[in-house]
Amino acid sequence: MPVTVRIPLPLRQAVEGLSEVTVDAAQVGALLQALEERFPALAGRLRDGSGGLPRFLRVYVNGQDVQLLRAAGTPLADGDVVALLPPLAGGAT
Amino acid sequence: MRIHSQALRQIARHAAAEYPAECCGLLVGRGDEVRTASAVRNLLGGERCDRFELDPVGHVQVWERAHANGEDVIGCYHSHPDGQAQPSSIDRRLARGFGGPFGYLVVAIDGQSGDLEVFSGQIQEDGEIVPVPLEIIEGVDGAGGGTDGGSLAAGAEDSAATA
Repeated sequence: MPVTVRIPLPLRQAVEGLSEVTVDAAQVGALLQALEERFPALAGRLRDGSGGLPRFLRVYVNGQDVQLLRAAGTPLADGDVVALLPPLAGGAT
Repeated sequence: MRIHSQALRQIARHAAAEYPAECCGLLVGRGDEVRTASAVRNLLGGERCDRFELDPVGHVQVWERAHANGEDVIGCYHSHPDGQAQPSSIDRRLARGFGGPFGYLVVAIDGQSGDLEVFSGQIQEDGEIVPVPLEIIEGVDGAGGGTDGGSLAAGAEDSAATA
């Protein structure tokens, strides 16, 4: 089932400059694996060593954080929009 | 980095409004040209005054709006209330986690005088934050001007809705 993946600026160089990519996948984990296989430069940036979500990546499906759903097991449907986000945080001290 | 003077004033107003807490938001535009600054809720703003965590829900909303307008999220900003116009050690550590390229503005605001100072940088591919020159593009009202950061008035006229 084709879903649209929005690619953030920091990952664009790894996906040939594309701002969005269409991927056939039934779950978030499979989608991230498919992206890594299609774009080898993404290897290690989308999944941790055990196939889960890495610390420095947030994944949203239709505006919902997959960590509040079923994480890598979150199901996907035709037309879903997946956003990959860098977590932005810091502070003065 | 080039930024429209109106966007810079949006950031200044946001920093002043959130003082003494940190504000945060996203830089929207094309290429290296920041056209608007979109305020996003600081998830840690109610807990402490020296940390920010940009609300990812707001991040998605800003990104979708930018996409619909043919623009992109090209960077982020946050304030250092009574702090330095430089990325802190924690700023640098957390930037390394995801990498760039991604624009990075830090606005130091002096609570007594209201003065602001801007650091303009970019997160590089390896996650290091390096300073970059800041060119301010004059708005229709003729305000702004200058390069390489510097100071700007805190009394910004343009409000920025928090996503």
